[in-house]
Amino acid sequence: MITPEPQWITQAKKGNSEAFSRLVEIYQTPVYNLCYRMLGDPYEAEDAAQEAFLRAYHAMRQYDERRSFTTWLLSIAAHYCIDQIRRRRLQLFSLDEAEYLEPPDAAPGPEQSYSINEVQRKVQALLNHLSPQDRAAVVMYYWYDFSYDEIAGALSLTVSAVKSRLHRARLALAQEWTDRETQAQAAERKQNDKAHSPAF
Amino acid sequence: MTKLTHQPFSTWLLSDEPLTPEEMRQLQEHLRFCQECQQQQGAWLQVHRLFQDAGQVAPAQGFVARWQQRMITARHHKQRQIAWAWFGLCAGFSTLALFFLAYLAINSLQSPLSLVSLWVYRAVLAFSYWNSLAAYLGVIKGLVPGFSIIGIAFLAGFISFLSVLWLATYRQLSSARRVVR
Repeated sequence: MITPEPQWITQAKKGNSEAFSRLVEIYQTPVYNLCYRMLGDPYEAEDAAQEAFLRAYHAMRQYDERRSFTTWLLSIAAHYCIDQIRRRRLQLFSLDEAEYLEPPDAAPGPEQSYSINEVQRKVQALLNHLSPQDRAAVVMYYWYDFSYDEIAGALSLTVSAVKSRLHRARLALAQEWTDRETQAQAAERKQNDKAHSPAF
Repeated sequence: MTKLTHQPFSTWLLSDEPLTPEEMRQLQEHLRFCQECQQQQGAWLQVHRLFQDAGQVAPAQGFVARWQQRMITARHHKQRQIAWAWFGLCAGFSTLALFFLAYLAINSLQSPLSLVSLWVYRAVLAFSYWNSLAAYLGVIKGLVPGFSIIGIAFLAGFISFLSVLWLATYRQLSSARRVVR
């Protein structure tokens, strides 16, 4: 994991926006990636990552330098994303619909520089089946190599709760993968049957 | 849909904790016959590989610049909110003051004679207070002949300060220490 220059953190704690901008530069990818994995949409991920940095900037005075800055920052981002998902659910927005949306057109905007390839689409489809907190735990564990302790600290959970959530998430992911494979095989079989059936 | 609940093998398959040689042997033995657990193991391995292949997604170019712009906008928004809050507070107080003055004006217009008599009474009262105070001060000055009125005020203040200091020191020394070195 990245380690920022301690003087930037110290300066940022004093309210130096230039120093904080350097931290944004260093952490933009990890924070954006977490938001993207959590929300599954590039627009929302961009917005959430920016909001997470803004919240971190305002809460910088409360940051305890004995803690890992990465854990603290990603914790803010994760909590924000969890809130967003809950709010989205209240607005009766279906995640299942979102996962099949095509990436936005080449209109000018933050999404322009990358496209969602097949792997990313599959990952998002799987992650979207997890609860927000399980998803955050999985992302922190597999994309950031966080320890159980770090995840527990970041998500305000106990270590045993993290272990249990990760186990539950792995089980759900494996189950979802199996179901998708079965569905894909069934669809393929159906297509083959159609192709080989005699035309009247 | 099949439920993958073959304990403890299902837990072992998904666990990151290292298994003992005996547990490993039991798991291998179970996997030889259990198709569901084989399927679960295969599915989880595929998911894990997928996670490894996915890597981290980076934001579009210019993220920092956009963040700086957003920070400026947020700051302006906050300033505007504070300004509006102050404006609302001042407007509220002004309205209250206006109502109060209007109430006084209506009352005084209804009975101007009683208002004038009230103010005359207040002026006489203030004058009598001032006379009484001058008489008290004259008595005090007579008691301490060497000091002026200001000197007496300073002396009284100094004695009061010493009393407070004594009281505070006494409390500090008599209370138990909180930090034991």
